[in-house]
Amino acid sequence: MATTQLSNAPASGLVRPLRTRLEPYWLVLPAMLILAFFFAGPAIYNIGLSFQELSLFDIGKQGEWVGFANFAEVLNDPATRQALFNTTLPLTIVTVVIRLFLGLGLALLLNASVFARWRLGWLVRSLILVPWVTPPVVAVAAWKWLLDARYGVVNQLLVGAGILDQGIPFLARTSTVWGAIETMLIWRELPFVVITFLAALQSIPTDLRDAARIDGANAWQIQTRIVLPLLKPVMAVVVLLTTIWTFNNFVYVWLATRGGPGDYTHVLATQMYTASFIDYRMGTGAAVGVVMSLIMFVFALIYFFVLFREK
Amino acid sequence: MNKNWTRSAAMTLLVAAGVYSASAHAQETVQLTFRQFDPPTEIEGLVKAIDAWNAAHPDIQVKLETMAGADTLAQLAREVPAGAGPDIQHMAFVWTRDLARSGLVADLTDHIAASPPGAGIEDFLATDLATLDGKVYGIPWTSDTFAMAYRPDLLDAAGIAFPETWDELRTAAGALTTGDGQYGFCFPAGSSPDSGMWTLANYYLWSNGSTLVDETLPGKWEVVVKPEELVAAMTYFNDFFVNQSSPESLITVNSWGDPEIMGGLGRGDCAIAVFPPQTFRAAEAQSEAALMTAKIPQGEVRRISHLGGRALGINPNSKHPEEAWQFVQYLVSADTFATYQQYPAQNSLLEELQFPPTEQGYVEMLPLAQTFERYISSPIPVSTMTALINREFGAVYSGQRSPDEAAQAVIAELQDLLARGKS
Repeated sequence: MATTQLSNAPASGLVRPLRTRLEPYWLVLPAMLILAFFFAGPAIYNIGLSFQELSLFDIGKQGEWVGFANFAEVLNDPATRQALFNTTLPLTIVTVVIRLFLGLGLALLLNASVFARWRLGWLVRSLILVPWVTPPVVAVAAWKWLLDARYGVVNQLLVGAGILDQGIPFLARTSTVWGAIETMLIWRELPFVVITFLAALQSIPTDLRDAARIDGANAWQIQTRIVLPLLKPVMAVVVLLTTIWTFNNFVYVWLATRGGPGDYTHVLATQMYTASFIDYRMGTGAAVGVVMSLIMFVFALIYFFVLFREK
Repeated sequence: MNKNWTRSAAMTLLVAAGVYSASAHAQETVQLTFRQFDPPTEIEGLVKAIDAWNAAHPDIQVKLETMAGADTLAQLAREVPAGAGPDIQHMAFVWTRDLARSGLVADLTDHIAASPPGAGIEDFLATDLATLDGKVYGIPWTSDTFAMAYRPDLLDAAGIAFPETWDELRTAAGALTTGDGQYGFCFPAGSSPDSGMWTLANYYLWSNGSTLVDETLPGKWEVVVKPEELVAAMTYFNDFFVNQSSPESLITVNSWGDPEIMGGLGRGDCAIAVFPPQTFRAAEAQSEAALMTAKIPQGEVRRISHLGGRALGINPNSKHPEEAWQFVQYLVSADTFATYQQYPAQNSLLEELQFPPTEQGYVEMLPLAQTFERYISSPIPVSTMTALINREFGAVYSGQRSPDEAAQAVIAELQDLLARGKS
């Protein structure tokens, strides 16, 4: 009897037919499949590889299962600890902090009303994007030539101006090599930070600034008490994204120095590449990759927890 | 109605005939892909040879593909297990056994028996590097070795004859360094896994009676290089930077063909360099003055270089292995070497070649050259050994480690790699 009543119930109202209830799932299914194929699949495969001993030449075959041996080897290797230090401090922390401050400063400058008044906003925004549209390979190649000890423009200018007697081989000396890599990276990656901050700044209503000014706030107080707090969510995203991108970055160090001179600039990404494609040990390379992902996962959790704990 | 039906039927037949004919034509024409990894500047003659093949064989058309050498192995390892990859693959001698062991190149033994390449497989150099368990997986194609390259005018100006020994080279380099931008000796001292430092380091060690690892008893591999021998090699090359007879910027240079070395020799910024033949020819073409080649310096025991080269392999997935074999036979023939300016890896063809006087250094070094067979047969991948040596020599040049520390690091890691390779 009850069954009859239910079956006669109208389609609308509290009880929806199964087809209607499943509709959202069907709609997100293609996106989920694409995510599974391109992201989850390789990630799971990589995790599987990290527990195997497998040569590059035997990829696609089943390797020998070795448990946590690859992780133990990677974590006990002093070269990995040095690479972790290089990845964390000179590559990531230094460049992210510099990009954050420089990016914010440039964004504040570009947001100045003078550009709008002179109708130059489009020009400076276009110029700032030049490094961003330069492929990293081209950017590093160009910088390597600029910094060349004998033929590079930078050294020729310094020697020509009488600052140096002879050019400095920036990428060959341990005292200068990290500075050179950081310069390349910051030059190429800074526009993302500038443009993101600029967009955020332009979305802040001018009424807030005007009201503060009427209440007697000076320019510094407006920036620190109104603008910066409103930029906080954007800053959070910028710091998180740039940190993850830089921590995992392979291109700048590899193209600039291949981890040299010696092993002075090896980072985790180049360790992973060397283990997989030079030593042909895919399991070890995969283990380095898993360790990198875990570090970034923990970083992201802590970062969001600390940043938004008051909420 | 009848007329319409007839017209439609005729049209259908015509279209079907066209489709059939097109597909039949496609079936008749075999498409092969040949992948090689030399830079485009060095393959002009190869392109001509392939164009000539395509013109003469309308039924077997070959597409030339170029890929950077560093990416080739990984790409093959990805493609071949997935059933893809080029039909014919250009391989460094040292790769063939690794690829064969994992089934990434086809066994050519039956092809060789049915229709031998060139003057027969016995005529080819370095077949030991292409053989695994008695089966041949690659046909040696080109061979090369290294020689010293120099500017005779700069040596004449300094009143120096070309140095015969390593010690004389160091002294000569000092005398050829003028302090106004001219350096005595330029070599790739970079720490990259593929840096040319590996070759020079081995020349020095081998010529002084040493080697990194050796099979001391059948199946028993040991690290045989002594710490003091490595220290001597590291100190020797580091002296060029300490004495400033090599520019410090070379600590970042990995390739023989880097403009800093090749162009430097041409401009007179470097008096002496060391090159493989193709790089020497490129340097010669752009040099402001005449260049010459000479033998690699003599050590305490002998004078030696390595016999390097390239082999050709066929993909086990190739749908046209017979046609691929025909093309391989063409590539190793005298016809190809008529336009492709490489040294063939066949004794009979080498004897036919006339070398220009400037390349006399290669002529003299070829009989003294030895392959990397010992290293290839060891349980340690050659690429790993190469990366280790380049890294530690680079660590000495940049002051990260003393030669003693770097030598100890090399020996400890080689021992570790041997132990791992045996397990």
